[in-house]
Amino acid sequence: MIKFLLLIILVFLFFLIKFIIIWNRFQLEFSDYLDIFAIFINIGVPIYIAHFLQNKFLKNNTLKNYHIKQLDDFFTEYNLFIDNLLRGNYNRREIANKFKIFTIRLDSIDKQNFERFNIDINLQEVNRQLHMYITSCDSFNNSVTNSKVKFSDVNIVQINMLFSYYIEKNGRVIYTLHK
Amino acid sequence: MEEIILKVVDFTEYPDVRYIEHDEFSGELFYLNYVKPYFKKAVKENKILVVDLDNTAGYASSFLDEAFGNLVYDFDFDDIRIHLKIISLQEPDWINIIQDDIIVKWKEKKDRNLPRKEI
Repeated sequence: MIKFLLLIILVFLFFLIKFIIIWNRFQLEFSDYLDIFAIFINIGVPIYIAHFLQNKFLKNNTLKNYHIKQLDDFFTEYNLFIDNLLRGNYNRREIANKFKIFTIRLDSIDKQNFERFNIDINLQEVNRQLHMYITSCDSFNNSVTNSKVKFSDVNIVQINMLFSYYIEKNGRVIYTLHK
Repeated sequence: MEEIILKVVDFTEYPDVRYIEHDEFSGELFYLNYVKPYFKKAVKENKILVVDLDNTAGYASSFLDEAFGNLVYDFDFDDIRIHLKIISLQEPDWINIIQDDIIVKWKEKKDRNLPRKEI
């Protein structure tokens, strides 16, 4: 960055000296000065756009794409977990353990979204609602230790409702990142 | 105030469900064998009972509900506010859920003269 600025200054000084030589040798009109100024603008503005603005735009886009991919990867796993849970494929220990892992990861995702993009949509909140509903219902608590937990139809409906709320919030985060 | 540290992982790595009749590592048993006696000692000696939730395999909310909500039926609500502190680096949102949600809801339950155990 410093080297680039030095280069700009050197180029400017070169043209300034040239300008002074030309000014001493020739009798220039005001329109001639405008033409010379236009030359500087035509050189300087593209350099500024190419180096500063485009770089900033590319970096920002790359970072956003990385975060969107993180959200997508997380959602794929979470979706699979909920699907298996509704099919009755887990016992109580597995459910509690998976929720803990998802909670830890979501905490990190929410924090990054807020710190880097000022997104205050909290995905953890819905995850916790799902967790609390699932692990406080009778189907979970009354199941035999180590056997798979089978949820009632009422439970399944409520779990789907909470999960669709998660999908909606997740969509809003991705939409905000794309802006 | 001095602190008394209690780690859930010292009771079990796999905290389970609510009641003793459902599982040996229940919230009810954790309350009776650990939380209640430790908290009683903390109040008596004017110390803070610090309960560390970390390093277990994960919680059911029913476990935490039973493990801490019962305090309301055995101790003064103001004492609970002063002498109980929950800590967790792994799942920090449990802290507010226990202190501001679970304990408050159990107090409301007690104020309505409902029994502590719903059978």
